Amino acid sequence: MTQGEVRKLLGGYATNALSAEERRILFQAALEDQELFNALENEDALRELLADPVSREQVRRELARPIEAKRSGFRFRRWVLAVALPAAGAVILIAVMDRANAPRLIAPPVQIASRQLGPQAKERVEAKSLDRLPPAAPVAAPRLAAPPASAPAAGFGSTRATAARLRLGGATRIPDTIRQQFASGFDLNAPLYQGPLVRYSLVRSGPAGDRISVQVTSAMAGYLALYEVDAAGNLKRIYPASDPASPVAAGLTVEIPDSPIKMAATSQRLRLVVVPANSPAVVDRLGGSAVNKEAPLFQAPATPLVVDIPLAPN
Amino acid sequence: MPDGRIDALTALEQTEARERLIAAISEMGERCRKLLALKLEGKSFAEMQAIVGASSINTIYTWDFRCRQELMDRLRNRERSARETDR
Repeated sequence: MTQGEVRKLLGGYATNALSAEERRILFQAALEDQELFNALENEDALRELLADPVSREQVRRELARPIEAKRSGFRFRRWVLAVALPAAGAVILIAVMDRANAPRLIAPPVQIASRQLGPQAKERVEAKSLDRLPPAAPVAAPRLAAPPASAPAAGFGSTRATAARLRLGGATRIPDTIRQQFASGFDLNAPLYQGPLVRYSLVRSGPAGDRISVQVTSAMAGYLALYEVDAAGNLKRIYPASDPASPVAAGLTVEIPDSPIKMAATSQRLRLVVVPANSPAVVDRLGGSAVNKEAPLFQAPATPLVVDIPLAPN
Repeated sequence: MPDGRIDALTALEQTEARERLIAAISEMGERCRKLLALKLEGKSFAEMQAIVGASSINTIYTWDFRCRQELMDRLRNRERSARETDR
């Protein structure tokens, strides 16, 4: 695909002007070209905004507004800057000084989620911290991988992120490129990742210890899915339930699936797949990356990190 | 988190994103605004070339590419400013 063709297809992507075939070609090219993949991820947020009828209508109205009107608006703004703004500033200053000694109102923390095991529940945690870091405090897996209001996850720095920070597009949006990558499936014999970027703990619960969930911490913002692998090597996705993958913030420990599940007798292992988000815009929306610049641990971020979790008898 | 809260949060984010988009577009030049308007009307690049009178289709591709870059940069800057304001 030539540079011109790529530009053409990218140009039509955000405004939904591509045919199904053109989209297919673009996605295929993106899977083979990291730069194009990143560009496509960046375009995705804009595409989603423009796909929203309300946004589209507002954009149309803004574009229909003549530039001349904007200029007269600027003259008005100059008047505002010269006269009204200083006056308003003075009023605010007086108000602030007046309230300097007033008691401060602090919003109560918002509870993101909680989980309580029954009194008879037997819980055995098989912690496997791939990087030997202490496990981070988990939150139950929300559709929106939102951090608790306070403490950052251990080992990965701040988790201030996700929900309120997912600004450019919708919070739970999965880019089409990522969707397609997960939908295409991952090779059963794919090389397994054993580095420090993905940590997990297998959590057993229930009276017989046969209910299972997994606490996962990804050092990178990205997308994850959890599969069950049976003796025949068949993969069945167990998280998320509906989407092919779920967004995950960097350094945030999530517990998936939402409720512990009972594993089939034929299940041999679980497979965790994390696809790091690579474009700066997407990483920002997902709460930034905990991978610091001094240690570029991961060189090809669109490559999925595949981690197998053996299901030893409880 | 209850679903209602997620919905409210998502709606707030969408509103903010929309406001940033409109503000970013309002700062763009006439040519970029024209191209975006034509794209939203569903015009092809060839049709855009004819309407704006560009000498070649590659000129349109280039303009479109630069305009999208400009728009994305403006959006990113606004997002960054909003985040710094939140801190």
